[in-house]
Formats: sequence, structure tokens, C-alpha cells
Amino acid sequence: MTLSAWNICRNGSINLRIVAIFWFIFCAACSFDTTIDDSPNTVHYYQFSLPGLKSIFAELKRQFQEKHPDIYIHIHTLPTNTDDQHQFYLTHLQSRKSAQMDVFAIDVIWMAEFVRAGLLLPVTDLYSKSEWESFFSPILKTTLFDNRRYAVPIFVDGGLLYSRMDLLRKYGFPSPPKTWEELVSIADTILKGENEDRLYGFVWQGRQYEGLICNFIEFLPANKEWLVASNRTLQVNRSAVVPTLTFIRSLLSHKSVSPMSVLGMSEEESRHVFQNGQSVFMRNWPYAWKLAQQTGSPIRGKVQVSPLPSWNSLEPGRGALGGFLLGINKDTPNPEPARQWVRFLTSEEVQIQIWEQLGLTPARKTVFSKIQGDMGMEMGVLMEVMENTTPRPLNPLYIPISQSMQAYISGALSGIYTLEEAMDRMDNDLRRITRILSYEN
Amino acid sequence: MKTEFKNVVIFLGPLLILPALFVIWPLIELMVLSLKHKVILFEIDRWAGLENYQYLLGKDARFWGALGNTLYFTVCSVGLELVLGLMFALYLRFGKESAWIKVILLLPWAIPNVVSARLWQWMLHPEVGIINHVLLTLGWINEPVLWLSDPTLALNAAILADIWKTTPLITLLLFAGLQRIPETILSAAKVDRTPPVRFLFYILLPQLNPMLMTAMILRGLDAFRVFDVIYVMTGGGPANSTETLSIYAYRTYFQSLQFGYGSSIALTQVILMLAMTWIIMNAFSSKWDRS
Amino acid sequence: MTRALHAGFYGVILLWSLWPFIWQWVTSVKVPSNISRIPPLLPEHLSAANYSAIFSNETFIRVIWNSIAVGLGATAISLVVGAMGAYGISRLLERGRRWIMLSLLVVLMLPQVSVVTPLYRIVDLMGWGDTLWSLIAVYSIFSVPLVVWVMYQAYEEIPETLHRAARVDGSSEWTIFTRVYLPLGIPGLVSSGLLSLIFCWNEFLFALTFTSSYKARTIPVGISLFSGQYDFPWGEITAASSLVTFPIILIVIFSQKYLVRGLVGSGVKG
Repeated sequence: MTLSAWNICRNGSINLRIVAIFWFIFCAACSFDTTIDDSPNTVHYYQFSLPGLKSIFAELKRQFQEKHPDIYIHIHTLPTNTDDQHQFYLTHLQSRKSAQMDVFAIDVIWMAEFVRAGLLLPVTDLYSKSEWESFFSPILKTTLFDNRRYAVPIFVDGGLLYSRMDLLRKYGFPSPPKTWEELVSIADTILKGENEDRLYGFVWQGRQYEGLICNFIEFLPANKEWLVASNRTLQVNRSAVVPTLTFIRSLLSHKSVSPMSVLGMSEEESRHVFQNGQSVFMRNWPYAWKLAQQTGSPIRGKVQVSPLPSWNSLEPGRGALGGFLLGINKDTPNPEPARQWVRFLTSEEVQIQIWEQLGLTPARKTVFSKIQGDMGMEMGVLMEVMENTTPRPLNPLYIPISQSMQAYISGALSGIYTLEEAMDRMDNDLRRITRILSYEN
Repeated sequence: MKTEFKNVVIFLGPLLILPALFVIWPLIELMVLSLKHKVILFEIDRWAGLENYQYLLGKDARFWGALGNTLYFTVCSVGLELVLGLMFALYLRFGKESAWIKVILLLPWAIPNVVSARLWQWMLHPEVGIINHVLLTLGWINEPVLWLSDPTLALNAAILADIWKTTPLITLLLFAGLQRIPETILSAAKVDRTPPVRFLFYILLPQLNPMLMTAMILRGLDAFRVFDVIYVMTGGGPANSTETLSIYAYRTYFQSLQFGYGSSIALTQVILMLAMTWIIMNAFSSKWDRS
Repeated sequence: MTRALHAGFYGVILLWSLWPFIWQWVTSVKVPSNISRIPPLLPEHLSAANYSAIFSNETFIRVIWNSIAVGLGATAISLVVGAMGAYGISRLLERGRRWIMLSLLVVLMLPQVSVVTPLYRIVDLMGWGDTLWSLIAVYSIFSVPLVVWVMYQAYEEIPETLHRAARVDGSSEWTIFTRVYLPLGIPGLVSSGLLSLIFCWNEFLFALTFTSSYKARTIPVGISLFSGQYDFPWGEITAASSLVTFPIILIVIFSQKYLVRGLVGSGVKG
């Protein structure tokens, strides 16, 4: 081998050539320049991505620039995954040298954190009091800190119950269940009657991710907090959490309404099961409606949406609050153009366009009278649900808290922790996470 | 003497300056950070003394869980890779060698970890994964196995993906080792009609020992810092059952934003890793010094 | 009998190594709406929908290009620094070589997560955030030890007498290095270059944290960030994965000899 190497390399120019090729490619690689044209009135807007979003926002940008020819909007699209978006914002807003960011779309669960970190410009005077009140109240609450508003909702989301009305009617149930007990008994009856191996009662999202927290808080009894302040740190409110976890475990136990595979499901997995006709009930967001009702869907025309069940038949259950808000960077060099852009995106006309073309539920309840439901979606139900959503804890440390709670809830549900163990570990982790903030008060 | 020194500077300068700048400085910074409470986002930055370590070693069950997962991952994946790799290598050496089989073996090793992790995640998909489908069709299981969402299985699934990806490397290293065994030893064994098992344990393995150790050490250290495969496949879940030290540190940095506490986790990991290296150094004393 | 045994063993190796690739490809040519349905195992008809979806997204091409640029750039730097360093360690140092080699091993095996935040600060200070430069610099540092290890073994195999003879002739170290050691070490350079390329091509953690847009994202990050609003777009993921594995298959086929020979001849012989 050494000899052959000699032979190859006798001709010294070969290695020179190899080096030259490397350097050539290397230099070419680095010649890519990445400057952005910046006119003084440019607003850099950062947002999530969705299928079809680009073309619709290009159109919105055109409409906006017709009205404000002096303002230029630059739209930046972030990954679809909200965790990735969150990380993007944090790394960029923390480093002082980063690109200009004027307006950004904020998930409801980041609000407390962003406000606490002082990243947002107050926008209290962007709308009059009555105009603020045209937004759904649960999402509006997430914008208010110390009597100032820090963001404007652009769309809302909330958990819904999807029911297979053909099966319900077959067994004499005229309407979707109002309480969790009712849901279990209906599902039991239908499962026994159908005696079908691959038919489940109720599918939801139990994978260890943010969606698990949404599902979990929907199972909580109304008006009970699950995290309470104690001794300068947060603690789990065991009187609310233990019964809830016990109930969810009972759903998952053998021959009961939810299969264990729910613990691996996020939205789409549960929708696939439901849409293949393999489940009587499903918890999901409004987006699943259109897909369930599209041509070719095996359950088309057999589905009805309703508010989630509760523990008390007199009041509807509360879906978890989701959605996005628009915030303005405190350090923006162009606050006025940024405000104009936010005003525009949260105006009634744009809310209608976003609903019609992207299917995002408007954050303003006042536009509901002007819009139509797709494929027979009952707008009344949607409006009722959005008005009754329940937020996840508004804590600056919500993200780490949630990450940690997901693990223990998931562990408690899958049975690798006893409830007692899970509670202890939750408290332990809450202390680890929140001890940082508690020192300074 | 002077030119000697100049030469050393020219040849070794870049090699020593780069790591010093980009490795030693960061490690010092890591040390300093680990003694602080630091959340840049909330402008919290104050000294904590050894408090982080006290909490980490004393009260943090999650840290011990992550350490346990890391060790389990390291031992299982490296152990199985060595066994499988040795089998493949023996076959290549004494069965039938072919360039094609080497190409095929190299493929999984050469693709990005992220791609192989996604690939396995897809194959292990509970509802539409090929593995569950095959097992169901064969009747070996009655209902879909939740490979990645069952806390008792998820880490093993990640180990499976890792074995698939890195066994080829071990195979080739061991194959190289086998080829270096002098032909005379092999033919002597053949003439003596040494029984295969004896041949393997008393002749091949001792000869192969240096290579086996190298493979084990390199893979062991690599597995000890595992991040990509698990981060992509499970993200540390379900119920933290796949959370390794690297993932715990990463999450503490980038999800909990606690740079102080994250640094103490990371530094503990580095210390453990240095301890492993130190043990290796003693096991291989003066290997690199000319006798 | 033996033939059947051979065939059986080959079958196992083939199935074990190749099946995931085949399944990835099969999935990628399914009609998007059929992907989440099994059976049928095989697509009823081939569809390029997933491929056109990823190509309609101009960022993906940029991401591939980034990976190539970063890989080649970092490999070039680490080959130069590493070959020189290995020569220095092997021929110029009397003492301390064990110490240096072990420190390099430590650098090579350092948990990336432990240096990621300080490195991020350096990258940020240099104004390299979200550029290819940050990745080229960091990857060079982490692949230099690899190159040194491989090249050190290669240079150790060259008889010391050659070096001494050249010195007696009055050649400078630089001449000896470029005229004798560099050419003799070409197989080692090829194999360590390939190892370094593969390392850069695969690296995930630094790429994930140092980049924030497609301007500097590499393939692993690009693929890990493929996600839908509620689910993974498996069709697109498998199509993208198939595309990025294709060049690797070609490289492995054509450089198999170098990779294996490099490992056998000059590689980590322990």
C-alpha cells in the first residue's frame, strides 16, 4: 500500500490540485452574502408557518401597502413547530446583535415569559376599551399585566369534543355527553354493543408534549388551580390533581374507553383513529372538523362537535386555550409602522380573511356574525367554546414548568410512577425551576 | 535549537491554539457559570456558590435518572454493537469477504444520525409503522406495540436505532483487526485443528484485544454523550425515560433557560467523561510514547 | 449447504442494513394521503408529490448547499491543521506526545452540550450568528483531532530514517513535510477527510443551536425541523431523507476502498 501511495503521489501536482479544489469550493461556499435591504420604514414581521400561509400573507401585505405606501413589510416565516419558534425567539431576542425584529407572533403560553423578560412594547392604547372587548375574554386576559396590554390576539384555539352521532343515535343517545361520567357510560354502552376489537371509546392527546397539558387541564374540575403558590415556589395542588389523574387512569385501564395507545398520540394520530371510524369520541382542536367532513372521509356527515364535558351538567366543560398574539419588540426602531401592521392584521376584515382562507378561528367574537362555518361547522358551538376556554398557567416560567409536568403526568398515566411518586417529583422539579425567581421578591 | 522551536510553533501552533480558544475557554466559562444562578432572559445573574451542585447531587432525582439512562444506553448499545460487530467481522474475515457487503455495511454509518433517527421513528410508528405491521401480520403481537411512547420500551428502541447505525463501524474496525493477525498464527491453529470456540477465545480474541478495546472506548465515550438519536426520536420522553445527561443539560439550557444549573449538569458530565478517559489512560499506559 | 449458509447470512446482513432505506424510499413515493395507511405495503402507483413538495420549498436546496459548504470548508481547514499537527507531534516532539494525543481524544469525545453555550457566546461576539462561518469554525475544531489521530498513525508508519536522511540532506522541516510526508500520507488524508466530511454532514447539536434560519441550516437540522402543525409530514421527511442519502450511497460506493483501507492501513489501530 505504501508503494502504491508513492506511485500516486510521485506526481506532486495531484495533491496541490486536491487542495486547490477544496479551497475553491470552500471560498465559493463563503461568498454567499446574507444582507437584507433595509429601508428606514421596514417592519420585520416574524410568524409561524402553515400550509398556504405564504400566499395569503403576501396578499395581506399587498393590501396593507396599498393603504400605507410608505411602510415596507418583510415577512419571515419560522418553523411550524412551536417549540422551535420559541427557541428561535429566545436565542434571537437575547443576543443584542441579532437581526431586526419588530413584530412577532406569540403563542399564548409565552406571554408571561415575554412580558417578564421585558421584550414587549405595551400596546394598551392601540384600541379603545370597547374595541378590546370585542376579543374573546379568555385570550384577552393573557395580554394584561399590571394593567397594561402587551399584545393583540390574532387567532384563538380551543379544545372541542367530536362525537360520532350515528353510533350515539343507534344506541339511543340523542346528543353528545355533557359530563365526563356521561361520556364514559355512553362509550361503554356503545363498545359493548358493537363488540368490535378495534373500536375505542375516546381518543385524545396523551403523548408527552405540550398537548398533554392542554388535555390534562380540560379534565380538571372547574375553578380549581392545579399549581398553587406556596412558600415562594409553586406546588402541585394535590386535591385537584390526584382525583383528575385517577380519573384519567380509569379511562385507560383495561377494557375501558381509551386505549393505552392514546399515551402516544398527538393531534393527528388521534384524528387518524377517529377518522378511520375507530373511536366514538375524540378531543381535538377545531381544525379536525374540515378533515373529518371532507369527501372520502369514512365519517363524513356522522360527526358533531360540542363543548367538552365537565364535572357538572349545568355548565359546559372548558377547552384549553390556544392561539397566537401579535407583540411589538420593545427595541423596535419603527414603533409606529409596527403598530399599524398589528392593527391591520387584527382588524375585522383580516380576521375574516384568515378564517376563510386558513381556517384560523378569529380572535374577535364580533366577526362571528359575519362569517360562515365550513362544511356545516356550527359557529354557535365554536363561539361558545372559545368564550369558555381555560388558559394554561400564566407564569414566566411556564415553558420549563410545562416540560417538566408533561414528563410526570405522562409517567403517572402510563403507570411508571405511582400518583404519590409523581406528585413528589412534580413538587421537587417545581422547586428546582421556580427557586430562581423566588429569591428576588 | 531556535529553528527547532520555530518549527514546533509552525506545525503545532494552530493545532494547540484552536482547541485552547474554543474548548478550554468554554470549559472555564462553564465552570464559572455552574457556580451561578443565571437566567439571561430575566436578567438574573448572581453567585450561588456550590448550591447548584448541592441540589444536583443531593436532591435532583431527575439527574440520577438521566445518569442511569445514559449508563444503560452506553452499556447496552456498546455491548450489543461489539457482539454483533464481532460476528459480522468474523464472517467477513473467515466466511466470505466482499466489497459489496462492506459498502452495504457502511451505508447506515454514513447517513446523518437525524436521518436514521427519523427513519426508525417512522418504522416504529405504532399505527402505520412497518415493524408493528409485520409483527401483527405474523401474529407475534396482538395489538400495536407503542415502541416510542411506552416508557419501558422507548430507550430500547433508541438503542436499536443506535445499534443499526454504528455496528458497521465496529464491524470494520474489528475486521481490520482480524486482518492484522499474522497468517502464521491462523494456519498453525488450522494445522492443530483447534476447536472453533477455543480458537475464538484463546487465539483470536487475545490478538484482537487492542482493537476491541479501542472500539469499545471510542464507542463508549460516544454513547455516553448521546444526543441526536434520542432528541429526534423521543425528545427525552415518555416520562423522561429516555432522558440522558446531554438531553437533560440541553433542556435545562434551552427550555428551562437556566444557564447556571445547566452548566453544573454539563460540567458533571464532562468530569465523569474525563474520569472514564483517565481510566482508559491507565489501562493503555504509555501507548503513545515511543519505547 | 455452505452456499445456503452464506446466502442466509448475506440475506440477514442485507435485510438488516438496507431495509430501512428501502422502506424510506417506498414511503417517499406513496401518494401523500396514503402514507398513513398500512396495508397496502407498497404504493399502488408511484407519486412524485412528496418530492415536488420539498423542491417547491426553495429553502431545502439551500440547506443541502449549506451542508456541502460547511462540510468541505471545515474538512479543508482540519486537514491542513491536522496534517501539520500530526507531523509535528510525530516528528518534532520528543516528549508530551501522549499528553497531546489524549487531550485531542478528550476534545473529540467532549459532550457537545457542555461547550455549546460558551461557544454560542463566542459565535455571537464574532458576529457569526446564523452564518456558515460559525459552523465551519466549530466543526474544524472538532474534526481536527480526528484528522490528527488518523494522520499520526500514518506518519508513525513512515520510517524515521527517511526523516533523518532528509534532515542530513539539509531539507527544512517544511520541505520534508510537503515533499515527503504529505504525499506519503495521501491515503490517510483521504480517509480522514472522508471521516471529517461525514462528521460535519451528520453533526446536529451545534447546527441546531447556532443557526436560526435556512441561511445557515444544515441537512440534519432541516430534516429535524420538518414538522406540520399537528403531525410529522412523513412523506416529505422520507423524500428529503432519500434525497440526502442518495449522494451518500454514491460516495460510499466509490470511496469504500479508501474508507476501509484508511481504517485498516492508517486508522485507529489502537
